[in-house]
Amino acid sequence: MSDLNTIGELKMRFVDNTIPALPAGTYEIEVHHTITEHSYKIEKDYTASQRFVVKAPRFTLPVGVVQSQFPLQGADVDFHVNLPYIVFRHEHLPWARSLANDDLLSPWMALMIFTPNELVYSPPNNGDPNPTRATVRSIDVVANYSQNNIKGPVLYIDDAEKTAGGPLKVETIDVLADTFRQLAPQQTELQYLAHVRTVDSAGNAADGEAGKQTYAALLANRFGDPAKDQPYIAHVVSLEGWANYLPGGSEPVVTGQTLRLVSLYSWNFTGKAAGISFGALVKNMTAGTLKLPFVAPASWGSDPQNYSAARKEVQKKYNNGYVAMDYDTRTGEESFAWYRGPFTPTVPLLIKNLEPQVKEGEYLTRVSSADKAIIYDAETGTFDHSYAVAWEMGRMLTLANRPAALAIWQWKNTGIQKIQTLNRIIADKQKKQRKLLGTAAPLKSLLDTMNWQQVKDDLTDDQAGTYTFMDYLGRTLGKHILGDRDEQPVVSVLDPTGLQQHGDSMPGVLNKEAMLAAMEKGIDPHVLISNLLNEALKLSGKTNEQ
Amino acid sequence: MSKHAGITQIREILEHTNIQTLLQDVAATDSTIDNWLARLILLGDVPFQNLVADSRLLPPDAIRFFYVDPTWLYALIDGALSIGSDTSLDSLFTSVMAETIRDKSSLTANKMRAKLLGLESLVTAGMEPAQNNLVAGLLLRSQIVTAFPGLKIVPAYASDAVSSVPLRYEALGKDLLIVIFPAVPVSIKIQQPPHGLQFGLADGGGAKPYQARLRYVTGSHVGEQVVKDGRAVLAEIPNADLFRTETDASNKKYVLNIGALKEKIRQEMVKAATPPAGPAISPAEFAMQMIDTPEEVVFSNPQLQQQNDEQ
Repeated sequence: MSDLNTIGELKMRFVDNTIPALPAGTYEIEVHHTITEHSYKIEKDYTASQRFVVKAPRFTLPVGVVQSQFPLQGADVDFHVNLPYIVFRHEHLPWARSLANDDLLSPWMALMIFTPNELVYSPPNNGDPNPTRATVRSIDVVANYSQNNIKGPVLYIDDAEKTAGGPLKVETIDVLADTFRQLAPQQTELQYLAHVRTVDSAGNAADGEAGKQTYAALLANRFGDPAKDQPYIAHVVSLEGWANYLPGGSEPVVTGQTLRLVSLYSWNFTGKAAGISFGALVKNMTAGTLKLPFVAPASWGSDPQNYSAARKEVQKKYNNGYVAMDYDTRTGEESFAWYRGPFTPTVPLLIKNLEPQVKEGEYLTRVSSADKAIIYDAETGTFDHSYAVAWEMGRMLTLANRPAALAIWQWKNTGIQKIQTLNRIIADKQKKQRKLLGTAAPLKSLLDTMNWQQVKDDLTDDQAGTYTFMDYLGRTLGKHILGDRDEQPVVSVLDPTGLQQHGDSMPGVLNKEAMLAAMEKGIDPHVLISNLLNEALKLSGKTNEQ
Repeated sequence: MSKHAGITQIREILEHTNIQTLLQDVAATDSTIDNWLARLILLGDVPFQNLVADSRLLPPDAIRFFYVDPTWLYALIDGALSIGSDTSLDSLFTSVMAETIRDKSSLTANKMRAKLLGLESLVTAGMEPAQNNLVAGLLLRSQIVTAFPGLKIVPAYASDAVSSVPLRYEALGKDLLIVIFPAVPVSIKIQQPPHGLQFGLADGGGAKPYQARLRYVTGSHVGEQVVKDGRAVLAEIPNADLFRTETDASNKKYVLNIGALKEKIRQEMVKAATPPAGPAISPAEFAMQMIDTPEEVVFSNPQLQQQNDEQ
């Protein structure tokens, strides 16, 4: 079950914050107990105290806590409508410390975006300048520091915290006080720049991100300059000790004063004003149909009703998506012809009989040459080459595709062979009928009554092979041996034993009706004869037994 | 039997419906041919200038809807089938087979992409577009094609019984995309690829103010964009409610006035009849209004207001 909401493709839920029961800091718990005993006159105060520290990240972030960030380090990005952000894996992190004693809602950190010249920075004498313009300094020149018009945050730091793991050094940035006021969020704004989100990506994410995860996110409060390409630096700064210096805070701005902020995490990227913004591009798009705008020349007059027939035709062609193209005719005249590709602005008509001599509804709805697909409009004397081009295109593309061209060629040859075999089967039938009845039924009635299943079996691939071989024996080889015999095969290709030829001259075995019936049903007369013979033998056997 | 009589008889035989039915079975095309013709039907290899003959038909930053002309496709296939010898018998045979082949290859074309994507189950029986069904599509010429790979185009149809898998969806080159749908879409939605959840506003375009996409924060549609009259509600945020007062016009900072922005968004939510749960907007509610994924724009199909081919 998911209690998450669907946002776009994602399932997630947003929460304002997750404030820990006790923000980080050094605490002292004190117990007072007063005992008054009258009979023994004991009156005493017992007290006990215990110091403890709630620990939370303060000057650096734990390793691996950053889940994602936008923009990416080093990216060229148009963020003039998108807020930079950073996502942490620890949902408590932005609220783990308190910004001010009475303010639990505000996160103690902010994601701030600077241009390089908004940070006061002097590169180290030895070594490369830091691309994010941060400097690592000892805590002594940061916390509670105030010299040379440079001010650090007022922090209470436990002695143990200062020395644990060697002398404490922190990454810092220097910002002029008035710049800080321009860029930093107000204290009341801070809570709107942080939130917690729970995401359920089920199995569709990498290990570590799959399933239900809760993250904390910080948003920046600054967009990119839409008119200028320039580098930017992002710093997650600690606001601990700075509440009164935020815009609207009680501390007055001292012009020229430099504030020294603790930077918890930083990266740099480039704002590309000319970068591509999806929204702007999509909104600039015009939707329409594929046709040229029809602008009639002034000489045509303003009222389309009064156009001549030819002019009306031109307008109509434009509206239907046609384009006029140069047409060099075969006979040498230079003219123009209409062309429209397969894409039309209006519902296209299905022209079933492009070859006009063919009646619609007949099977012959194929165009057999490009020229036949040219449409001539006798009224205006113009040509429409659209379908001729399509035909030519189909032929050329197929010729360029060798396997497809070969397959079509083979399919045609096989088809023709089958038709020829079919023709021979039918011709043979007619011949037999003629022999048996003296006259053959009309072709149509023969075709109406034939046993098609039988023919279909005969035409399946292996059977067709047999026929082809018989054909070879009867015609090609026969001709080779006996010379040209005027189209007649040497042996009947469909009746190699010759028995069927003599059906009418075996009156004692099969009568004419039986032969005709067998032929119609497609039964081999051999089978009938052998059946008859078997029965006759059985009969004679029985007689002998008697 | 003379040769001439033979052809006459074959012609007569081929005109018989029983024979024609028989041939569809015994002389059917194989899958090599079907697949090739299906590719042609989807206009796979047709040069672009034959698809769009004049560059003015498809200017930059344009989305152009179209119908696919079945007659054009038929002529294309007939051209393909003209390969090989063309005796009168060849011609007769091809003519008998042409219609079946067209139908078969258009069915193959309809399933081809779904098959390649392993989405064949989405093109279930009854949903598959019938052969000769009027198909439609769009051409998109814009930088977004190249700049946002993974761009989503979601069509909406008048009927539910249409497969959700487009027949073709291909970038034809720099900044050029073709999509062919199995039916005529009523409208399409162009979505930014959902690569990451982003926060921010929508650029109103040109000098227009930025816009906030309002989302429901209460009720059963929590998280979904507020929709009114079929369109997502976009609240205009004037610069005065968005940015802090710039002290130096020549060096603008573009720092957000979060206090004013959240109040403006709250007002717009009230206006859109989806007020926040409490008297003030909460940080989570504010974050939801700033969610920017996926950005999308709906275009309705201008063809539907148009007539058939004029006669």
